[in-house]
Amino acid sequence: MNIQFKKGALELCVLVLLARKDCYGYELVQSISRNIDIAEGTIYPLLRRLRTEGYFKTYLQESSEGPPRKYYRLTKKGKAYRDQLVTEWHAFTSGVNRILGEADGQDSLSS
Amino acid sequence: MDKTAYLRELEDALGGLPEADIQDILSDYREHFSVGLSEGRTMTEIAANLGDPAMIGRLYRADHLVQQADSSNRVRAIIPAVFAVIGLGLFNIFFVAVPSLLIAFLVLGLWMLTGLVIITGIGCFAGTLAYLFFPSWFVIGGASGVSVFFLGLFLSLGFLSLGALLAIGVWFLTRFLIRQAVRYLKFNISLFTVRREP
Repeated sequence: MNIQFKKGALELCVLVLLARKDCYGYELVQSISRNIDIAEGTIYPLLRRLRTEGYFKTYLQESSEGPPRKYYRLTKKGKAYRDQLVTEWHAFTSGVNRILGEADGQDSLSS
Repeated sequence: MDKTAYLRELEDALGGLPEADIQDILSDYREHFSVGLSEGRTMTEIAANLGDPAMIGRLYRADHLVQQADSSNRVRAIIPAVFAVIGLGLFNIFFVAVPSLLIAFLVLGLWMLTGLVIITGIGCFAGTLAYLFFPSWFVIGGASGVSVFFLGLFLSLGFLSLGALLAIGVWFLTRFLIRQAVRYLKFNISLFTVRREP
């Protein structure tokens, strides 16, 4: 998939993952890069940007292995933003799917 | 590339940011390395998956400068922000540099026009005063002194008030264009990604 296109979806992924539970950076980055082919280092600038915009807060929590980790928690504003992005995403993908469906229909008619 | 080299390259690329921000950013990557290592990945593997530290650094800098342009009252703050975003990729020469140049010319042109109108007003006013005190300098066939004086006064007031109106209008237009530019730069940054190292 086109790189440009992927990045917009990245924001949505981060917000949806954090809405499920608070995560530390590495965990979040792995959940995304397991599914989407992207340089992992790009996700941290995005996290910082979203935090500046007030979509989430961070806190430190001790870990059983090694130093404390920085956790991200979605704010109320972040939840509202996630809802908005999810709605937009569904509207967009169902539009694309409809077009794909129509194209498939025509293909099968012509063949 | 190992952890130390990676962090050093990233730190170099972050030059110019406030020290607290640099340390905060570096600590995220340090944590990433330490968790990755504890999960059994190698340093080289982790660094390769993170992507080019120089590019990531540029991305943070662009973010920071655009944020500054957004919160700053100084109109000039937009200039380093535009350059930082252009520096993110070739693609942006067309999508950032060209429109920025056009807008800069438009704004500069309008300010020059405003300046010209105000200078003309001042010139008319100076001429009118000169006519009042040294009428012999002027050769004006037929017209009475009083009407020339009032014509001069009328012209200078006209140009000066037009200049003032233009200045206010162009000021608001400049602010508006900068707000739009900041929004566009933010959008542009949000599209930017770094490829994985092969």
